[in-house]
Amino acid sequence: MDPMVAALSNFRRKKYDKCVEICTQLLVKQPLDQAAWYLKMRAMTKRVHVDDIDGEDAMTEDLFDENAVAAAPRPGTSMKTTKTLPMRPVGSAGRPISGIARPASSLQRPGSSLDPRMKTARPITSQSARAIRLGTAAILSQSDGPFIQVSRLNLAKYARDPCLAKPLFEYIFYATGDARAALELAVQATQANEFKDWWWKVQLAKCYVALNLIRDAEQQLRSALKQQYHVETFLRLIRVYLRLDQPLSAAEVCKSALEIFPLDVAIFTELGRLGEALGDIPSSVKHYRNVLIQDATNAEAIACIGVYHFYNYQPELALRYYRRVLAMGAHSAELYNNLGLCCLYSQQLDLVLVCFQRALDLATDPLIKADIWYNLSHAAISSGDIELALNCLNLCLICDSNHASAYNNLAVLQHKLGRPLLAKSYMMTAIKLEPDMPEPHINLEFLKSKI
Amino acid sequence: MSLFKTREFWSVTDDTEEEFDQSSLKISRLNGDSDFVLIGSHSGLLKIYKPSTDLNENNVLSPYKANDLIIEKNLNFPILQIGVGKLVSGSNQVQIAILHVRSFAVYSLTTKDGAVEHGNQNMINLLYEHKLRRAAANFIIGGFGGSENRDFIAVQSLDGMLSLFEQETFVFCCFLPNFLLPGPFVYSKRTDSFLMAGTNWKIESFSYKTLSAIGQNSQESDISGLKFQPDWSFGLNEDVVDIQYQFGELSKEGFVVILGERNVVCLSDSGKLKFMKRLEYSPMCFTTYLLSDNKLMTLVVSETNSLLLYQNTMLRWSAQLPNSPISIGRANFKNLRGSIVTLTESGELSCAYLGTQPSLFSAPPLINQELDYEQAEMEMATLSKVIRTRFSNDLKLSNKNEHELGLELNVNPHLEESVFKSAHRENDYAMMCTVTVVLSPRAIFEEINLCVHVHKPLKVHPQSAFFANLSEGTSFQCQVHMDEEAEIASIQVTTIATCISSIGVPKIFKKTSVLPLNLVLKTNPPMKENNLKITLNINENSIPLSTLFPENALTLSSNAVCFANVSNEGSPVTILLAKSSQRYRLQSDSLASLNLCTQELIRRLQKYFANNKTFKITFNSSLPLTQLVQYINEHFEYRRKVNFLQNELIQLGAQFRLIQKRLISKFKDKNPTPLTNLDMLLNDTYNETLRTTVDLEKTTMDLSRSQTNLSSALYLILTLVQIMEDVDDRGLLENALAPIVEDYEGQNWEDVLDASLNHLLRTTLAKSEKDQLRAKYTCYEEVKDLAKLEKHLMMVLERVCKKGTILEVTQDEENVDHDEAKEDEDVIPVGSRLGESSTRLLSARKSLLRRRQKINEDN
Repeated sequence: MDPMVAALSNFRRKKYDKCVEICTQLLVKQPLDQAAWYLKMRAMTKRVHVDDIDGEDAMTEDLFDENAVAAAPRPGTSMKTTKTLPMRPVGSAGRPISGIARPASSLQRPGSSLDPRMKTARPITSQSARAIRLGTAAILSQSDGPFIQVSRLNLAKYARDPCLAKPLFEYIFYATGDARAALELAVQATQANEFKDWWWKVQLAKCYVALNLIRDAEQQLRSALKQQYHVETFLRLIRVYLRLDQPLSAAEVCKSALEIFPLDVAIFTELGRLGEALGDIPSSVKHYRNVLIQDATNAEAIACIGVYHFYNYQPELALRYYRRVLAMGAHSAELYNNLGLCCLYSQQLDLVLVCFQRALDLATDPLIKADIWYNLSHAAISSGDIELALNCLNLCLICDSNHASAYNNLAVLQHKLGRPLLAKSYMMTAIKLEPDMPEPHINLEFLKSKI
Repeated sequence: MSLFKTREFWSVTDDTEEEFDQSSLKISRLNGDSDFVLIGSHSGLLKIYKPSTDLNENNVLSPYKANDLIIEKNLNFPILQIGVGKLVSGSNQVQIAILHVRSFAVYSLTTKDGAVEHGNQNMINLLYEHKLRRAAANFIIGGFGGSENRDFIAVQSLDGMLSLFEQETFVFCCFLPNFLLPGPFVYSKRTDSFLMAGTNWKIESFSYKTLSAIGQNSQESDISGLKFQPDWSFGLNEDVVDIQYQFGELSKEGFVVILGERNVVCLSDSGKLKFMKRLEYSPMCFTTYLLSDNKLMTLVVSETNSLLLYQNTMLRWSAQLPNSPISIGRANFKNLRGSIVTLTESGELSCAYLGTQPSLFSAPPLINQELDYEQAEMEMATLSKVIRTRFSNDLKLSNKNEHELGLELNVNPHLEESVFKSAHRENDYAMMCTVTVVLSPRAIFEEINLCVHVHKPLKVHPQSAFFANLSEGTSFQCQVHMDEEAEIASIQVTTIATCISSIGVPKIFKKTSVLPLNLVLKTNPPMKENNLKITLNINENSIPLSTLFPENALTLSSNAVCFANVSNEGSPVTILLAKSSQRYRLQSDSLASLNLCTQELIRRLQKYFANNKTFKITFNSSLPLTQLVQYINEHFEYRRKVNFLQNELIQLGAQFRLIQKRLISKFKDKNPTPLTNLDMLLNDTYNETLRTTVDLEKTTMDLSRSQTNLSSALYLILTLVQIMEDVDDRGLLENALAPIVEDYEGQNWEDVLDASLNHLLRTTLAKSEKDQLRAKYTCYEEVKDLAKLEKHLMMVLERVCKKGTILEVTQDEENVDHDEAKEDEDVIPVGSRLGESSTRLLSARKSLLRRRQKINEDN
């Protein structure tokens, strides 16, 4: 079988390691074969590719932050302030771990590139009469060195090549992570395409975001949308506005995107998350419901609606949503924790401890473990076992010593047991850990008025 | 993730080691009444199945039977793709087309009916074969150019040549523009054009007419052709996995469905976007079909083996597949229309339908499902132990155990030639002293951090060492040398070991020793007269100086000796021994220089008379306070200067950044504007900054020198106060005077001194009861007026010198302290040192009040 055919087939079947191997052999035989070079580059990019739309970038404080917005925004126009809004009674009832994890990367591919299930190699037939397009010496790579030395490439030349430019960009951006070189290539390619290819504008925006030039990214994305509507472009524009902390602009983009792609799940999900971040839970739930009408298996939407019902004092309904997620095959500590809480508040007491037991068995992250112990303390309190509740809270604090709510509850229990001084010191700790939490302040005032 | 799983009713697994790909599966009716399933492996094995799908008596579809496999033939060459079509001229029969790398072969399937079903005889015969000059990649079959009853073949080669065959004959070939690697392509019947997914991530449409015009007179052996442009192209944002074309007979419209790496895009056959959907998973393969009412259905297989069925963009169904297929198709069998056929890359072929069979996810059983009381008790015990250790750790903090770590500090009295480079070094004081710390742990320590500390002009190298998991003795060696030209405040060397024991309890061990005098002082010829004199009286016979300073015994006479700093800093100090009276006199021109010799002399005298309990050194004249105040003034001035320069730097820095910012925004502007002399301003600010920095460096050096001077003077005063009044509690005054002079940002040494002096004046050194009742001095204020500080200092020293006042109060305080501390420990196990000290102060105040009450009652 022709090795090029084999390499292509392996690439299609997502066996990137094997594909790289075959391409490397091809490149040894003919070091300037552009097709093999292209395929190897693609395979290496796909191996490390992450879906960067969902990658959540932390805001970086910069001395030259030109994108700074007003420090005291009007309510509802920024996401920085909403944390302090009294959204959900976090302290009074347990803390379900909200939503679902939003995976930032697609690195874990079951049964794909990482899987070494390879069949035996077939004997390679003689070299085909395939006409080989030859590249220049710049694509030569040492066997032990890196595959492509970006600094050696004549980016202007590659930018003009319609076939090689795009994968080369992805390789530089994802596989080598060199946003600056990628930006250079993108700038040259945009010029080579006479500013007519929207794809390059989106890539420019990607580079600008990576270099923290948010406003330039916005400009490029808007220009790309003028040429071609694409869901991903819209999503990136939404992310840009979120990064600028302008949720209202982001919502505006969502609305215009929905006019072009009505009922698109990705856009509705963005709207749902936006509503959640702004504290507008009813609209968030409305959007999540729209998501579910379009895609009934969307676990994020199900879980978020579940959380909404839980905080809306409808634990039975929340329980149904979580059971659906469980039936769909999710199996995680957070889910069992939430199930346990729902069971507790909907009086299905026989299942409470079983759920929490499972959650504890599955939890590996100490923060999650702390939350589970904290919730278990609620189960203990509602059954009147203060000793057990104390133990649970202590275990919670051992897992996460910064758990302010646990300190607060510990203080209340100690006060009940007649140790006001100890209670006071626990409350002080809680206030110190989380000054915005209202409960310890109120408790402390109550305690002071008593003593 | 899905609620259901597919219902598999027919499956066959290939146990030979075959390899299949996306195009290895073809479902076609051929010339029969229901669909055949054709698969061809990469090793050349062609298999044709015809699932019988008979219903048995329970209305269940029959599973795989041996005679469902109609034929199996090894074609000896890898099969890249299978297709079907009317490929023989003059015949309406459908034939099978097989693409090998170097040939395109057409076979016919013939069946000779036998008497019973398993007696049927099937054969495939090679009808004709096109030899290909170039390695092929894929092909499509269709009625190009509007022909109805015969099918054409278009083969795409690996290097971008499209060869067209009209059944048995070669028609033409052409080279595709912008080609690098072959991508999937389809034929659009309505527009009579090829839709190709190119390497440039675009869907490009080439009409058959254009291609045939371009390819006219072309030969199969051509190596290049004419260039041409696509009719239209549509840019995608990713590579294309697969592409399919559906033609709606009703509305006469075509659907081009493209499966990308992250999206499904649907175009009309004229290149307009119909809809697109972003997938939240990575797709493997897909297939599409049209329902009778023109609804486009898309079946996508995800990498996590889910099968998702979309109607346009709406998810209609999702089900879990038992394996991960590489190719998927839809087949109409007898008794079952629209069955889903999947092929994995290892050759597992299965037919299934969507059903409501739940995909039962069974969570793995809990580790201890049944409540085992013994085990539960054990778990309880471990958990409560964890809780207990959390608290007991805090208790163990206060339990000092000196025996756990043996710490020895050895100073080598013999000096060595210094190997350290110093900017201010001269040859004659280039000596260094080796200090060895010996660690002998008696318990296991997880971590030990050891550091050695000496006072300023001296420097130690290396300063610290780190040991992990130390269980046996080890030693650490370092060298002490003079680093700057300055007065020496103290030649003490301190080592501190900070440990974390194996159970995680932190501990601190400390040892102090004295460095050899020769390291810092050298002998000079004695001087006759000096400004400053200190006379020490002893109540025993005087000891000759050569006995007291044995290391310099050779060079000095017995009754006069003169020491000078090895760096010639300060002024030499002459020690005179009065022969008749029991008196030593130290004289020098500088108070700071006197310090070290005085300290050493006292230390050595006390050491000499260590066994003599009645031995006493006294100092009768007044303290040299004017010089001290002078030093304080000097230090204060320098400190002010440093602060001023620092503020200047801050301003200049801010200014510099501002100018930079303005410049950046000017440079970034699309329409360049003049710089309006900003560059000059930038340059100017830069130079100014540099000048200030140089100034600051110099002043900092001066400050550092004045710090050591002040420090030396303070040590001297402390020493003198101590011997003068025989005050045991040197600590109180030492803490208040803070002889280790350090200036922090926002807090000068003077501020600290003022605060502690004020505190002393209002508590232990209070003169009247009124003073004691005044609010405690707790706040730090920046000292602006030195005269006030001076006054306070004088007051404190005056009161300290009135013998007994300190002693009485402090002792009393200490006693009360102990009791209170014990009580405290019982009540609050968790307590930081800060808390402890504050309670101590509190209790001290309480006890004072109590005493006052008592006195009142007595009166």
